[in-house]
Amino acid sequence: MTDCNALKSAILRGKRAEVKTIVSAAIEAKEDVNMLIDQGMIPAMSEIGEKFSKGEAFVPELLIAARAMQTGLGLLEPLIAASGRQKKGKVAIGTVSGDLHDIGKNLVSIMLKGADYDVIDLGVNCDLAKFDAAVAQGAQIVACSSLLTTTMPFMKEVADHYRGTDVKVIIGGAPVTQEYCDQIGADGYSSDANSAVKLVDSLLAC
Amino acid sequence: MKFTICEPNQNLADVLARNGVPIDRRCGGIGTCGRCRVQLLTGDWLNGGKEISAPAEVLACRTVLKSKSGVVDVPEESLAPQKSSAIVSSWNITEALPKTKEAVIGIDIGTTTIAAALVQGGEVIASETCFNPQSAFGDNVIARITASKEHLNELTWSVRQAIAGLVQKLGNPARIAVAGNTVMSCLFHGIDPTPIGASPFIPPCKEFPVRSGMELGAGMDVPVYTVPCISGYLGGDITAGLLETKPQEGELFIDIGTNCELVFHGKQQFTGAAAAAGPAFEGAGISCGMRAVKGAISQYRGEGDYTVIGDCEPQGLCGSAMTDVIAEERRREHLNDFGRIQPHAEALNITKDGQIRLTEGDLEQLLKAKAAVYAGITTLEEHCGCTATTLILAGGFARWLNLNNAAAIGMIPERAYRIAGNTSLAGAIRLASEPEQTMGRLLETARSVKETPLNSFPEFTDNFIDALMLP
Repeated sequence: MTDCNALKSAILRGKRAEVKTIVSAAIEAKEDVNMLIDQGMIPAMSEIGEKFSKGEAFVPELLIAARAMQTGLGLLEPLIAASGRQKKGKVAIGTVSGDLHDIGKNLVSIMLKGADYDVIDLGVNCDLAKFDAAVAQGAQIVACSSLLTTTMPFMKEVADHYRGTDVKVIIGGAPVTQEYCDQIGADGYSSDANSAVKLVDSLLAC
Repeated sequence: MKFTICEPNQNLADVLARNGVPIDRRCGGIGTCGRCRVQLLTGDWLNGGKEISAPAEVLACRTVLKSKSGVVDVPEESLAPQKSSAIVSSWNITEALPKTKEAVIGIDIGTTTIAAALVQGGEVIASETCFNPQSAFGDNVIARITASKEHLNELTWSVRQAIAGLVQKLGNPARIAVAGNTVMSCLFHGIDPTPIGASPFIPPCKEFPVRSGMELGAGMDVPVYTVPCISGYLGGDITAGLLETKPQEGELFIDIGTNCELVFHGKQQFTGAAAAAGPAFEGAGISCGMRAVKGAISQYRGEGDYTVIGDCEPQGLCGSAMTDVIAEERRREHLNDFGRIQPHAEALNITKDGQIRLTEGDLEQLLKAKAAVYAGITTLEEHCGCTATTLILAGGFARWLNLNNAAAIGMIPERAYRIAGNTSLAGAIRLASEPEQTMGRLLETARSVKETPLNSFPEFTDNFIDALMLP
């Protein structure tokens, strides 16, 4: 039987090898994948997220834990799909057209996965066609990232494109602000990966 | 300073700048940096599209006058910084400068500082520096590109005027040559740099024509040459640096700044890359951060034990001292692997009174910046399939840096080091001294570098995350 606390602790300490060993053993023993997620991964990510929002953890800790969780989740993904697990919702995420920076975007992506969302990660340099394809697959939220003030204006195109539809557009990235979000009429902004999860929670709750 | 504004329906920051008030628009005037804060004393205004009446505190770049006139109070801290770094005209080059009969001027157009030197017979006769006046439009090249959308002429005009001022102070040259990053070079020539701002980042121009000093506003009819660029993010400053330092096989040339440029002479070829490190080590976004100017703590040995540039009362910390703080406090076990203060505290005091300090939030920014530099170096090495034997460190930041401490905090790997200084300026002087011969060599150098997009490699993210921790 897998020790979910050991899995959680390995994630929080960023120990990828430990995570891999624990998850591989659980898969080998044909254990319930949902238990690993519900009692190991989600609690780990919510604990680090909570610490982050209280100012007790910073981006380095978040990145290190997220990467370790991703290692385990990557092994489980085929099994999750087969198990028919019900996720909290579906989010498409991508760095906008013209921009190739993805460390922040990847962190948001992993945090959302760790909060039990189905995430379609579209990568970098995403045009409207890429976002549309994800929406056609059922994405309820389109999350846009940008690190360059020169590529930020594309977020307005995305917001304009989905205005009046059921799809919500949320934005983030180093130069992006709440004021910019209001200015372009996007549905939400978050300043960091942890509050991005809360933002998605609140948008899908109503 | 109070000003009466009588130009309705126009952006307040633009109006102030046009009237000679150097309002700080380091984000490019898009309302994100919060630096252009002003007090509206009278009048009706539109702020972010909403009507407001004085008195109110607003960002000038988001504000438009609605009534016929209005009075605005601009505090000093909302003006663009005017101080420039002290010594920027020194270098360590592999080949002596040509001994010309006539005097020539070389100019390094930095994003922050412009440095110029008058040279005759291979010797520097005089040198001058000034702040790049474009800084009012943003402190980094991306902000300048954003600003060029509406202010291309002002950007071009202001840098030419600053250069003309330096040239006039230095005297009558027979020839002038400039070197700068690709955005600075384009703006100097009045070329719209917009394509550099987005993927695939192709520069509108890499090789520039010879122009007359009259045309460029230098006020004299002498030829002005420009060092050719390599790519959108590897500019003429790097081309010049490579010519001046001649990296041998196994040597890696690096200029650490907001953008970190790297060129590795790996197995038989030159591979170049740029990595965004952010402005933390230049003092931006750090609570007590500042540039390496008078009043900055430049070296730190322990709480209350430090060296201040200009030997005066300390006003803040510059990047080299930030590196020292992390290294020293880590040695004393006051910082854990993640850069968190042990035992738990909000900040590390630098001065005994705690007036100058580094908070945990500051430390986070610094860890991210140093990790980007380290990941840039290691990812480029992995890509080239070999490890550098020597790091050649060019540019202003490396001048003040304690290299042992930089290695101790995991900003640069432990290698042999060579400090190169302002090789961009040295290259510009060589070009002005022997234009035809040098231009050929510069073009050959620029064309020999193969650029590789570091952040498209998944290893870059992995190396970055690994490098976030303190060794």
